[in-house]
Amino acid sequence: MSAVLKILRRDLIRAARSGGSWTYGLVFMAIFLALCGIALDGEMSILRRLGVPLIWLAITFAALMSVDRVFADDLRDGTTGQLWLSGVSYMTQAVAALLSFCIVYLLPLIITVPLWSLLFDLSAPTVAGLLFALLCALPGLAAFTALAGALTGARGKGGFLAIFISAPLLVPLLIFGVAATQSYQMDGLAAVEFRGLIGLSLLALALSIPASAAALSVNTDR
Amino acid sequence: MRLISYLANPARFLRVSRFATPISGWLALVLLGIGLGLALFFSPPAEEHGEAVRIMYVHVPAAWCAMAAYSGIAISSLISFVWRHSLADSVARALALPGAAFTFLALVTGSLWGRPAWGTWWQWDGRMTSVLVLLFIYIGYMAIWNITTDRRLASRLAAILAMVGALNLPIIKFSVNWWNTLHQPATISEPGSPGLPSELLMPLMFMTLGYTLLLAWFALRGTEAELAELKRHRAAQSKPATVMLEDISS
Repeated sequence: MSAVLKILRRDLIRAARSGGSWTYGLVFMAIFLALCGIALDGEMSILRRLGVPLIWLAITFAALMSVDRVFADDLRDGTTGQLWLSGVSYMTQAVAALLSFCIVYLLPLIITVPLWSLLFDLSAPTVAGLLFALLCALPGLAAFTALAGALTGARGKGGFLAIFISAPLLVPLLIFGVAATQSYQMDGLAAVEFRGLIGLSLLALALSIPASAAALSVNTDR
Repeated sequence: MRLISYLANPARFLRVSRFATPISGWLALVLLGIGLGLALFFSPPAEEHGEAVRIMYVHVPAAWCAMAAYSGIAISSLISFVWRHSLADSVARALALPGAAFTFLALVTGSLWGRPAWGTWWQWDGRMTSVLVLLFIYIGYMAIWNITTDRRLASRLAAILAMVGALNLPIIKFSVNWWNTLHQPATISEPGSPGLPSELLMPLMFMTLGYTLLLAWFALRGTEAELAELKRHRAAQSKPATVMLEDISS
């Protein structure tokens, strides 16, 4: 446990000192959503309907854009191998990387959702549903993108490959996420889609953590 | 298990495949010929679908082969990941391209059938979406193989992805039961399902067998090609180095 916390602390410090590279996802999201609004001609009746799916898409894309930040740096400079040599298992490293990816890259995207929803004139219950659904999907989103990051490793052309890998895995999350947001208006948190979403997230965690650990061990050639 | 261990030796595999490959190839050709003849000329049009039912004879076997190929990839990946049989990697890799092609074929023929049957080329229902996802998984799987230069590394990374992606197979199988969709549920395979009249079932059986043998031919042929490639590579590596005098710049 302490190893996880130490890696987490190091990642947070590194993000704070990185000169704002953790905001790339946010900037991407702002540009993407603004372009969507412009492309739809600022028609509020359309924007109101498309707001939820567009925000889901933007967050998925932003997560995919930062895939190569999960493990690539550590693999490139050999930290992963060094940590393994000093007794930190790949599983622990995968869990720690997953947590720090959630906190540094994904949480800012979700926290700012109320702000983005202003662009689409979404109602308050819709925003609440969106937030809850995103929080339920967060572990799954992080788990699958982290798996893609672990599989592509430190390779230069990894970005595209990571998108190829994780996009099909993210499809069920996207389907259930949008559905959960929409059924929140009717049934609140009791909607069956929320349970589906949480189940998917747990399944993603259960699959991705060992798979990421295995991929890390392959990528450090052990 | 014994059979797998027996075939895991590439030399033994080649001895078996020398007979198995041409047999499956020619048999596939014959069966597909008979099946197509039956399907196009000797089977009656179905009650609800009219002549369009003939698309079934190319659509159903293609979908079956797409799933079979992915199951094959997932199982060989597991074998290669656990027991490190390098032949299993070759088999998995050889199955990927035909599998993706069959998936694409299933999607295209399904779309062509959907137009007369449902009045739409495409519908975002469970079965279609999950098969489309299968196609993407195939593409990602092949991309890992192509982008990673070290073969051993590529095989193990691809195996991890293939095993995670196997999660999609039960989703495809049960999607028609879980979600109420346009796509009809299982007609033949499950007990208590309506079944097909024998004049429609016969050509379908011929086509399915032919498609499966065609897939087997692709897999065997691909594995042989992969083994030949590895052998050539190894021969080049173990050759003594030669330097010509002209090569050395003065």
